[in-house]
Amino acid sequence: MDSGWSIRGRLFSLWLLMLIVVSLAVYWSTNAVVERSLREGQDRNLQAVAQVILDSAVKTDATIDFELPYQAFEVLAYSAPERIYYAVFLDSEILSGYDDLPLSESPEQSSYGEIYRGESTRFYVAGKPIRPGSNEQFRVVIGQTETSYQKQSSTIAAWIAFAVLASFALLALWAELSLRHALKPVVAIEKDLIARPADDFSPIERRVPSEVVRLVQTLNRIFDQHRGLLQENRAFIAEATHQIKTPIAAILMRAELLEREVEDGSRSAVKDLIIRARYASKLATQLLMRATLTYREVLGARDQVDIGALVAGILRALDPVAEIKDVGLVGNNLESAEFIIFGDRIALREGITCLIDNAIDYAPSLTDVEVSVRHDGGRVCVTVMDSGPGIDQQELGRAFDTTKRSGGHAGLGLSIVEKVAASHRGELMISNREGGGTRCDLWFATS
Amino acid sequence: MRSLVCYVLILLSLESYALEIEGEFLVGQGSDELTVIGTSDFSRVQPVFAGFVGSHREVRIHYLQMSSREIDAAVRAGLSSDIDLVMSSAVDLQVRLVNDGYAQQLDARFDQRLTWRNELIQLAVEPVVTIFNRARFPNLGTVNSRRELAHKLDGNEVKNLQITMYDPAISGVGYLLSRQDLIQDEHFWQLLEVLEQHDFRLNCCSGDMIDQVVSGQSTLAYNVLESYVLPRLANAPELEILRFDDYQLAIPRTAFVPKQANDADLANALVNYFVSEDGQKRLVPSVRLDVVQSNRGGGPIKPIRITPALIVHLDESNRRRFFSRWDAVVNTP
Repeated sequence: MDSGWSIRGRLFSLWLLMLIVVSLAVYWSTNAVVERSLREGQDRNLQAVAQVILDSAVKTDATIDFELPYQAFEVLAYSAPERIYYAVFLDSEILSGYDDLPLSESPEQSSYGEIYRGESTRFYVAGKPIRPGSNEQFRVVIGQTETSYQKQSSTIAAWIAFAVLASFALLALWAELSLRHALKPVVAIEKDLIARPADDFSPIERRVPSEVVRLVQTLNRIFDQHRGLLQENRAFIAEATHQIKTPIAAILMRAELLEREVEDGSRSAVKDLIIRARYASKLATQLLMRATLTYREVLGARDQVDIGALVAGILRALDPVAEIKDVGLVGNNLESAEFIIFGDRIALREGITCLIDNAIDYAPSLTDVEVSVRHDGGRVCVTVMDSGPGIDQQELGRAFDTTKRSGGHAGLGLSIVEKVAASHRGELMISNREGGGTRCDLWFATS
Repeated sequence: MRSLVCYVLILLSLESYALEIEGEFLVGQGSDELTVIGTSDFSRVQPVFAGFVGSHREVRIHYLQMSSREIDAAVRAGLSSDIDLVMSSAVDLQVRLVNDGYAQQLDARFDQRLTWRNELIQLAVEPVVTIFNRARFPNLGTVNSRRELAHKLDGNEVKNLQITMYDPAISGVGYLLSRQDLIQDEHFWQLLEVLEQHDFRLNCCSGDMIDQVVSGQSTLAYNVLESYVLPRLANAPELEILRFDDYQLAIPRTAFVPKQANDADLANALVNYFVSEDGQKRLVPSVRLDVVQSNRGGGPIKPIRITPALIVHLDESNRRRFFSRWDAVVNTP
């Protein structure tokens, strides 16, 4: 199974996303709050200066006498290295100062921000009637640029956002450590399962945290079921071997005895009985073999197998059978260090035996069955060639079909071979030889 | 001294404003011309300029000496982009020009005490002292503060001394010094009242006041630039400096690079050289920036702070207010 993503990776990207969003939000909100509070402080300073000028105003005969206090401006100048502007009005007539200062949009608004001479500037306007009840207003406007205040607030905001970022990073590290700690029992179970042999279905005994108890219980139940199924399967095979093969052997024995005793007229019928009984015996053996192979596949027992040596042993074992049929068994090129593959020795032996046995069955008397092994492109191939009738083009595809039989032979043989090939990541290729006969190439992956 | 200066009207490459120039000088042979306008006597800045072109062979400095008011008017009228640096001792006018946005940021970051907004930079300081003629008034050397001076001149002990000081109505420096005196000490008006009881004359310039004290025409001159006094001491044995213990004012000489300067890099290089140890060594010792820390007798030196608060001195209504008081004190018969 291919794993497309990891929990840690997903958590990390979610975390990172949240981190970015939170930091931006913190930066933005801190900046707004700090800028606002700095601005309020600046407005209070401006207000103080405006108020001092306003309070210094004295009505004289012709006009109004007032003082621009050096010290008050100095205090303002000390607060930040900003430009300072001022203007003093009697109603709309300017008495002193910068005559192009922007005025507030509404008369009630005393503090306001404007872009003046290309810079963001705060202004404060204060006014009072020149004498009680008079409509004539004495007004003072004080302005100060706010570049350094803005810089200050964004610096503070950046620091706070950075602090948030750092603490979140620390939290993330902590979460990673906790996650690793929390997953420890699960990892231990995983290791247990990997180390466990394939036929070990004992329950997991490890003490596990309450969160994974149900998982482990479920696993244990599945183990239990598997163990039951396998035991049943094993028992069935043993039973079937006994229960099927014994009566067939008895029938065969009786039929052979009968053949000698019956008259010539009935003999051909008895002979037919014997052939069918033999076929049934073989079919039963092959069915059981298939079941055994399935069971072995579940077990997954594997080790290093020298295919060359294995073939040589099979040839020796099948020699008597071939001799009865007057067929020669020829082994070629069986010795090489390259013929070692990783697989189930018993399954391989059964598969190759079936293949050669099949060839002996088809081979006409006084011909040879040639068996050779070769190594090609990371695979090992066992080639079996006979000089029999070959296989019809239509039948090539049906050769492995367990329900078909051809020429009175049991049809399960090739399907067993196919099964062994598949469980070793190999394949079986059957073709007709030029000049008659069948060629079978059985491939296995070396690892 | 001022009479020696020939007034030259030179129309620079300005659209509408004719610069009224007191002197025009060239330092160096290089092909890159750096134009500086300033109030300083050329002889004061020449050694620094020479040091600069000595290490920048490709540069020649074109120095135009002008009055501080001329400089202010010229900058406001729109300077030619030829002009790369504006130097002046009228710190109030300089601060107002920078406040109004005529300067650009300097490249280097300077000490906060030396600069405002990193646009206006202090190049030198000009301490201010009081001088008297020892032959005319021998006891004055024991006076330590302005209050003591007022006390000494107030009695019947001495009468009809010839006393001189800057006329604030004519001299920008004189006006600035009087305003700063008032900020330091509210009793300044009382001192003026005492001075006014004597033969009190107002003057335009430090040089003239020193001449008068040296010749005996005046007994005492209040607030003169120390750097003009020091070279005269050798040839005038009766000339004596009075350094008060309460405080000693000093005027910063400041400079900025105008916004439209087309050779700002070179101007910055000159500024950096000016405040460097090498540049400062070429100034007379009494105007170097470190004079504030040096132990030169008298009370603490208080250079006028480079602050935008100075713009209130220049405000017409504040001027009016000052002069109505001044006239009440000084010009009453």
